[in-house]
Amino acid sequence: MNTDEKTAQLEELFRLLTSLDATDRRMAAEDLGILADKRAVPLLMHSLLDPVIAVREAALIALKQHVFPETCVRMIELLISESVPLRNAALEVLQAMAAEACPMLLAGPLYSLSADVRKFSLDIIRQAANLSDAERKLIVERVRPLVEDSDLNVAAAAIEVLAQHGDEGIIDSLLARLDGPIWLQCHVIQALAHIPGKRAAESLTRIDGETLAPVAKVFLTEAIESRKRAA
Amino acid sequence: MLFSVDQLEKIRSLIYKQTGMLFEEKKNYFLASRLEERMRVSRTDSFNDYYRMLIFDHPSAELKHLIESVTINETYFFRDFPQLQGFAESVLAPYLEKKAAARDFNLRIWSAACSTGEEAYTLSIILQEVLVDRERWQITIDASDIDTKVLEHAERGVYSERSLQDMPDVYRKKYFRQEGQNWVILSSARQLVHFRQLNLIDRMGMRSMRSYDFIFCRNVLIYFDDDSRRRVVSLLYDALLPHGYLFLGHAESLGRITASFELQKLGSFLCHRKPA
Repeated sequence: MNTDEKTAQLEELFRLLTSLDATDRRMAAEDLGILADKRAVPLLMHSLLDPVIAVREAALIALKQHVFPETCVRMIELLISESVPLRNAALEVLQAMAAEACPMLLAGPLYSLSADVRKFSLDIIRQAANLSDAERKLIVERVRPLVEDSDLNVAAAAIEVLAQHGDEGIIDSLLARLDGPIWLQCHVIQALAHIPGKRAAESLTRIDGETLAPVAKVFLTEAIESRKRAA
Repeated sequence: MLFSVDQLEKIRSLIYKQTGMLFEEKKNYFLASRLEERMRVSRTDSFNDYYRMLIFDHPSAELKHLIESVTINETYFFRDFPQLQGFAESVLAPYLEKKAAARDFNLRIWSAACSTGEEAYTLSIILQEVLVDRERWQITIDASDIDTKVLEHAERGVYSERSLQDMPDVYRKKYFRQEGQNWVILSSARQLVHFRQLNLIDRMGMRSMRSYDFIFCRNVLIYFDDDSRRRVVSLLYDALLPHGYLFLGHAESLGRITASFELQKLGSFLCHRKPA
């Protein structure tokens, strides 16, 4: 298909995307997903508010196929939307293109004034796969301060990200949060169970179980056992 | 013949790409036995030669045979009787009343993945029994399957005793004639049903299926992964009229797939209705 043909096809699909017939709109959204042309992104975003659920779902799936920086930028903007469905849609699209979205999230939204946006950003970053060592290092560097976040959900999500990408260098930051609520204690222990290296394993054995909540104590026993098995 | 894990993975991927059906690793034995059978029939000794044949030969040849051999076709008349009873009593009757009140006497039903035709003919029998003013209605029952061999069987309309195991006697006498060990469906039930070959993940083919009041796609989606399931269900959604119904198998749910349908509990079973 040459450029003119593609443009003509896109224009026809854009027209159908605003048709009165919901089936036309759904099919147009689906076809735009297959074409995956960045010009469709703004219109597909508009379709996320279509009155028919099936059209909204098709637009969401189509947007996931538009893996472009432009899509990430627009979806990140939606993370602060007042509309819950739009925010959820943006989160889902960004999770589908997490590796592309990751640098943009690290540059700003990760430190948003909104705890929701910080949490969403961490959830998306956690989905990023096939990252280079440099990218992982940057994630650890930027996420580390959020372990101290005043919002518990954010702090726990940050610990999860660090467990995934971190190394022995983050152990002290994690141990410092063991004095937090039970839920956070469990997250820290699970993270220490995942971080590679002897120091992480040793730090688990040095935790005084008596200072932990009973549930966290169970987590600690299991974590120590699992590291022993892995060794 | 023994096949390596990699070889079976290649076959699995190929079947998935063509049909959307995902054979999990635990079904390796089943896949290997069908593969062995097809290699024997096609007189191919080595896996690599056979795989080349699947990839490079005309697509309608051996690959089609292999797909036919791995698609599961077991079905029988009045399968899942309570659901069909619920359809006839709780869904069909009020639906027809509404249509008749609107002076719309067209009724279109689709048996998607109909296999050897038992479901489509069952629906035909139900309609003959439920409709008191049959002559006023323009009824079409389309029945499709990916497998042309089972469609030939369906067109012949000849069934063994086993296929009729759940068939009430009264219908057996009314809609079948016995021929030796087999039962042949009579034209009164046959005339409404039209068979055609269709792959449920063929977007273009599926989009030609439109304006159905009821779609039966039972015990099919369980063989698909979420991605293919989502694609198929959205195409079935398009094929329905507003307020039309989709019937799935007992073990099948759209929960993770879509929120587009209205879920209705009718008696002991669930069905999915397309909103207006």
